[in-house]
Amino acid sequence: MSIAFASAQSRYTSVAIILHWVIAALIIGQIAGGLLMVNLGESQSALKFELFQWHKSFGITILVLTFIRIAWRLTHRPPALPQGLKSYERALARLTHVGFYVLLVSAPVAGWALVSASPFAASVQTYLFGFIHLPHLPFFEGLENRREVAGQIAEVHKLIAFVMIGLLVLHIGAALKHHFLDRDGVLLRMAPFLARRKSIQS
Amino acid sequence: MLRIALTAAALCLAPMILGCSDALAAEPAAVWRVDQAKSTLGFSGTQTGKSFDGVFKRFEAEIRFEPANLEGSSIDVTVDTASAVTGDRQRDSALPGADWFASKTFPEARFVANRITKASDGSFLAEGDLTIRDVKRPLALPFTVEINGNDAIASGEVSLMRSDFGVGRGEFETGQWVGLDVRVTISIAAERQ
Repeated sequence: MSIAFASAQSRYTSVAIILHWVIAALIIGQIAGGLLMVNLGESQSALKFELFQWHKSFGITILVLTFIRIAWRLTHRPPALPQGLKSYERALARLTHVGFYVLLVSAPVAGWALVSASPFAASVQTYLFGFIHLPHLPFFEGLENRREVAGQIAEVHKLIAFVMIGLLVLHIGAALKHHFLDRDGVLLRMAPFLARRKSIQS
Repeated sequence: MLRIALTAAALCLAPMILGCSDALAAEPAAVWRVDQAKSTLGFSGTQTGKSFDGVFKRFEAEIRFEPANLEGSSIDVTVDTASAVTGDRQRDSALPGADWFASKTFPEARFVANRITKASDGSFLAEGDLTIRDVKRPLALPFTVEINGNDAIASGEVSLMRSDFGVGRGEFETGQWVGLDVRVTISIAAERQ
């Protein structure tokens, strides 16, 4: 497929759209669940433990989906950015998108490392959704000062999460600006329901 | 029989440190063979407030028991600590680990009771020592026995603190995630030999 032809497409492919929204929903759930679970006290140990298990399950799901998404992205060129963007706007859009991919990979990997280095690691094996065994990362096997190392990795994981929140605000803000102020249809390229409604109306 | 008694008596003329007094004290009671398929050695505890039940799938018991000869009765149970199952993958993979039974280092737990007494309500009390993770603690196990001919069923339960035996290390030393109280239940079917 020629680049010119691909670039002329006005919308992302269905697979890209589905991956985008599924991962978006999971990320928002992970941020909400993550913030909730770390703030639960001792009296809510049961819920806390459950939430950690779900957080790990969805985190690895995001990691897998992100690899699929990157593979898809590399083999399916997305629609071109709208005409008339300033060069810094193009750079910012690219940076945001690349940044998301970096975060989508690094957040679950940091979480996985955190689980593997944790003082709980020896007694709490990860079973994704209660079924699929996810081994701990081998690098942390003989670790002695687990609390300290896990604490540091937790800080990294948290930092990634907060950068993600910042990027989400930027990304959503930009999408809404394009839609309501610039009215250039950028949001519609990724919004299947809006696009369909628009096509029905027109 | 007389000869055995005489031999025992003769041996006991040797220094008392040989510990012959027990041998003279009572004839050993009848031996019972445990029917593994009909017997369970169970335990229950709590994890984050929710209770769970488990069993040790492998254990061996040497039981000598006669209600009429309690002095000659004794119980010696050896439990394979790696055989604990609770029906939860995550928990079951943890139990043989270093934080819990440390089954590689301590493959066996053992309960030895040489003093069995009868209570006024007809039940029995087996007093002895329970050893887990090489930590030996006195334990008294109350139990009831139903004997029908050569078959018997013994049931009992006892509570213990896992922390007394160092079971639950690191993050699990306190009861925050897993309760310290553990209830051990036995239901043993055995046949007189």
